[in-house]
Amino acid sequence: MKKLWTSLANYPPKNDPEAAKAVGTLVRRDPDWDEFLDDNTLEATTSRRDFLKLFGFSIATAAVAASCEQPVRKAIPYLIRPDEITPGKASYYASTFADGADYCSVLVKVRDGRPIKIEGNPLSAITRGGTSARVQASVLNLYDEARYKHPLISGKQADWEQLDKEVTASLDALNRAGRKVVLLTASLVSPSSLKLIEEFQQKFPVVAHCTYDAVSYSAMLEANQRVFGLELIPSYRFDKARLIVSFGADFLGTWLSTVEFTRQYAEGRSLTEGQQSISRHIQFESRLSLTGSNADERVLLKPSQEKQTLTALYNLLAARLGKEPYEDVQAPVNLDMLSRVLLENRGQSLVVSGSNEVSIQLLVNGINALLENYTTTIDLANPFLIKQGKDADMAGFVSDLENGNLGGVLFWDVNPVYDHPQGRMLKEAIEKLELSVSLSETCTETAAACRFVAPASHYLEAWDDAAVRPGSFSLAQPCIRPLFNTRQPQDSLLTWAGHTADYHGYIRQYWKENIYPVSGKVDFDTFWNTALRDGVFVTNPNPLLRPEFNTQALDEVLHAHPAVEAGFELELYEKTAIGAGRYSNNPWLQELPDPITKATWDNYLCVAPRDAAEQGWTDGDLLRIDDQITLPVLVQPGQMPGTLSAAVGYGRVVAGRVAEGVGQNVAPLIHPDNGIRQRWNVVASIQKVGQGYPIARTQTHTSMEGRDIIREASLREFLKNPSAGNEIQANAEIQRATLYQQYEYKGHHWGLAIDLNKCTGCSTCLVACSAENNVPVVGKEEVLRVHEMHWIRIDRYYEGSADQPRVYRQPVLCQHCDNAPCENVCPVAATNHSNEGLNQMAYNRCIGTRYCNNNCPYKVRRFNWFDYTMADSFKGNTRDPAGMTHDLKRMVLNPDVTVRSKGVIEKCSFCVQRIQEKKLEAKLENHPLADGEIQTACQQACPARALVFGDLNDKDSQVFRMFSDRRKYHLLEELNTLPSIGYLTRISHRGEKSILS
Amino acid sequence: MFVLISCGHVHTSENQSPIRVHFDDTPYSMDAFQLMKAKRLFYGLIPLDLGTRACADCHYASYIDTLNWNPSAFAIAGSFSGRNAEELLQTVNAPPGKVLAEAHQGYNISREQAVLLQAYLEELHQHPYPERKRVITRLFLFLLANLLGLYALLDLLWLRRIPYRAVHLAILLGVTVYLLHTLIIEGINIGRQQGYAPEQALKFSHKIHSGDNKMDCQYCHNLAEQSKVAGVPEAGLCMNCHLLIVEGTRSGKFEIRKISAALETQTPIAWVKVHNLPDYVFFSHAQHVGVGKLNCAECHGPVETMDVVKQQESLSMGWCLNCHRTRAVDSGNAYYQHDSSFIKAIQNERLDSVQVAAMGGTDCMKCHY
Repeated sequence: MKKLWTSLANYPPKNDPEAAKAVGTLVRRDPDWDEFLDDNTLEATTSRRDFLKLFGFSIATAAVAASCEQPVRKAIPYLIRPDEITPGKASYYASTFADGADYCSVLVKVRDGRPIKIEGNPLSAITRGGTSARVQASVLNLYDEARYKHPLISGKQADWEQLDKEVTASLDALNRAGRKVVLLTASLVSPSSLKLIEEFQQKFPVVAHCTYDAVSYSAMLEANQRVFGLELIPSYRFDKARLIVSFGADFLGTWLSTVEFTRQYAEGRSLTEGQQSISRHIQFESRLSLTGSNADERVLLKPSQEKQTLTALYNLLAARLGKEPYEDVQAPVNLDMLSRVLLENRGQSLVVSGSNEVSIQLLVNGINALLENYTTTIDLANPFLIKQGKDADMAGFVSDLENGNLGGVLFWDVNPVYDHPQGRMLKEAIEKLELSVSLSETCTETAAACRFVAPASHYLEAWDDAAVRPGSFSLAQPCIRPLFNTRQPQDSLLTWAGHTADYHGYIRQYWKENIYPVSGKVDFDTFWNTALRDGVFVTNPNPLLRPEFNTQALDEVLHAHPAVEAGFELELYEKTAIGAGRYSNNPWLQELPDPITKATWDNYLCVAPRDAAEQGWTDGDLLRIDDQITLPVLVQPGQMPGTLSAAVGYGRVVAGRVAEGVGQNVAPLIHPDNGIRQRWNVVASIQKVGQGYPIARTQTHTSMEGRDIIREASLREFLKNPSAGNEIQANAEIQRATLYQQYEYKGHHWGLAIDLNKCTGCSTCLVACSAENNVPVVGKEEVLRVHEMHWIRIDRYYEGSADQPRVYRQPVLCQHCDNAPCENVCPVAATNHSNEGLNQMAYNRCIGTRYCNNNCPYKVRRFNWFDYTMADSFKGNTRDPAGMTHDLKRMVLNPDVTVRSKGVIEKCSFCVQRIQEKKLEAKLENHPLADGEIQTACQQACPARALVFGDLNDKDSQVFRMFSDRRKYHLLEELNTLPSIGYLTRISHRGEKSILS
Repeated sequence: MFVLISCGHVHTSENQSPIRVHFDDTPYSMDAFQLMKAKRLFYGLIPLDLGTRACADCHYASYIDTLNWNPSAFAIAGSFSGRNAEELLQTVNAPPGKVLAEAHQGYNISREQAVLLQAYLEELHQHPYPERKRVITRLFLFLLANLLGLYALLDLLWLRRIPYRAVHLAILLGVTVYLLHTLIIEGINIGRQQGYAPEQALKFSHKIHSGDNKMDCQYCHNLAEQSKVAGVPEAGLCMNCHLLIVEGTRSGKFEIRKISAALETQTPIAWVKVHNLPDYVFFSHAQHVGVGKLNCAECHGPVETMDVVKQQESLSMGWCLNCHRTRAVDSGNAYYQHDSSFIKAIQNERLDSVQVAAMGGTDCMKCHY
């Protein structure tokens, strides 16, 4: 049995001297913060006065109850009901989430005219119905009170006419004077917007368009330009790769098209359809990333060692292929075996790097070229069009701005004052400009510095299109009228350019002229309506391209080996939820635990356990870096000693009440190298300035040590025996004899199968569940008190040494046990069993004893310690860390799910509202329920398709097939709780012979 | 709770904005004395003319709980506020509709009277009379019983003013029974509104539409078969008929005019919801009407006989469950095929029907989620 441990607080495992040596000291929470965690309510005693108060209150309540009246409720119908709206029934509109950093084709659930949930669009060939956490959470941004509600001129409310007049006059004046104006945008994937910008430039020739991405992929663009003459980011096929070698690229979490890559990766590791092999994944990295935690082998590598390692790998491959290797470089790890296996998988392997160093990306290109991966796993003919920002352009803009060469700037969807390393200087320069316009949706640091704010509409209020890859088009349509006096940026540009048409007309015209002709459809209206309904339109992709590889470009960089300074290397990374920080005012994202650290509401400095022991740092110590930024320490197993890592996207100053004051902005620590913003640098000084800072983590308190919770076997064992790693399951089945009467499900018996081979831990399901089920946001203080409310969590365990642990993860939600321990102990029968196998929870019956919570072996029940969403009308009950009680934010609530009040237990309901909805539809349409018709919110959102929900009584259902798989087991099945959730064992290459030893 | 009882509408003349009325182009400013005169004129204390009834005789300026087809003083005030007093004069003396013409036969108010009445209506619109608080007899009785019981107890133990113990015991027994009865009954009825019949924004009679004119319920509540809600008809739907029918036999033009006014002013009509369920109950009309083929009257009572709709049933959980326990599901619906045991039993004629409860119809999560 494996010894699993969840955090350093319960590490090392008992009687394991080896492990104890690795860490040295035990990490304990600072006792000073006990006070912070405890508000002394536990010590309060019930006094005579309290009793009398209670007694008096009961009499008064009884008296008032005897005379109280119901509030008058109004039913206000439409004046004229639009045909497509049926009150009480949801409609779905296809749309597109594309913000320059992410792309996802979505379906928007609109109920009674308001968008309440985002679902993936299964028709999209790129995302196939998957979503990411940010996409799921984007619906809440619509109801963000930090959005601009009207245009602003010099910070004062203005109307559009006035703003248009002044901006146009200013643009005209600058145009006449021939002074340069820059339109700074994030990567635009909208072809019609790009054409619009061209037209805008024709009208105002002084306007230059510059693309700026908060997280730059400039090096990839440049490397491809140098070796192929193609300035692009190619498409990757992780599903076709048998061997994936990633150098710090977090392609499952934040790197490029994560939704697509997660699906491809999961497909490559799927074993449910009789596959006999899975891909092998090797990750070289300094911090423990989401991707690294899924890898078969993980190699610790400092960012400074990456180039050296890649050069060595290139040399080995070149030597093996009989080509001339570059000068001999010693790698920190033995790559001999790896180069052999890579060559065995020639054309079926993939080497990627997350670095933003041109030389590294050149080497990666060189290696992929040697491995003949172009055209098989890397597609240069169909590039990925997000992340088009070039750092050289941005550097030009910054120096122009600094030197006063600019007359004006228009900011569209960018926030350089916050996320550019020279943000402070930019702010001062912007304030001096003649014309500074922000086309921002919410208040940002950059918009605050601008004279004009022409507020943008949310993407759910706007028209848009996207061409994220040649031949893949998608449309975005408004699902609600703009809530505030806002206008989408394209409409603003059209107005300023003197166009009379609105952007809707413009986009239609663009599609009519450019996309409709290749569609082969007879009638444009039919084509348009079909594309709008589907959300996507696909034409043939470009034919494969095998361009000449310019080895000379490689030569130039390979001979230079700049020396690396000694000292801690700090890597700056994006968190899967917060990303570059654009959506940090979204409380769902702030409260989403990081898949690795399980920390919420903060960024911090991840420190290797060995470094922590040597330097005497513990969790919560405050370190001052380069005398600029102070961050708390989080001792992270699996971190490369000698390196630190910190997340960008925090420390927003102007962002709204949720984001402001959360974490620290590390953007000033980003160092450019040859004008390209690097992801890491060497820290000049570290100083301990404090201690005891509390980091709110959701998994320090759950320990399931020593039990067979996550079962794993290697592929070799699995091929020999499909029950490998799961042998004890048979035993558990035998021991199921009971004297008690068992439930008999005559109709449906709902079940959920979770394939641990596919789940990467991206945590999209958590946000989807929160959105679907009105799960409250509790805030940092309550997370510290272990009061988080997520109905589904992803448990993460470490095994082995703290320096190089193996990571295991498992989504845990209510297991809907047939022998549910919670049901027997409820004194009021508020939780009981349904005839379809659901473990029911009647909130209105619950009196809050929390016996069920105590008796649940899976700890999936959540208690409402406060009223977080204004469910009841008692004022003192509310606790609102994120504005979720405001009318505006409450618009996102799902009207089919009860908003829970203070004092009741809640938990996963298997999305019973979705079950009931589909059952009702089937009855109304007079047909039996088809398998797959009901999808839970977590299942629908999952980009990896790791969760499958269905009827276990239906022998043809996918969930039944998965339950019949010999990999299936139940969590803590020795307790005989008979859960309705089945897990499939994780099959990997772990435990097989290492390639890198 | 004492605030509840004692609070009243304090009307002071200091914080009133002066009332201004126009007749043609002549402005009139009204002082407090003239307003008092205007009010008396409306109530008939200063007669309008011989042989005619005062305005307040038909147009009540107080809230009543029976249906008065004539528009109330408040409704008229709302409609005429801000308009020229000449229009009021025209409407009273030469009414546009048949019903109003009959009712207003013989009225011939003067220009001065019209100005005064318009001023009164303006005043009423600005300061409508507060809704009279229901005297909370039950609360008084409840507290009185408490006090009585307390006195009896004190007297029994210490004061000993009443010589016979039997009196104490009788009082205590009576008070205990009364208090317990009140607590239990009222406790059970918390949140229930059986018999609730609120006044609506316009005097819509289900009796006329559904009873007299035999309209199908689902002509107006046309979502009942497909959606969670039955659907309150939108003003546009009313206009399907009321484009032609502009005058009611009893209400005249005033009430029907509100529909077109809503469309003209783009202000939807705010109906008062009669049948309310708590937030934690999920109820779908589609399930009951569309699938279960229930008749509307089974839950809503004989609506076709009601001028003012009243909640007929208790809508309590017990009431719901009674039905779920006794009613059979439609075994002909193809959806139920997944449940082979039940389908086979019906095919083999071992069962003639299966109750909703047997299909999980009494499970918590059928309604609570």
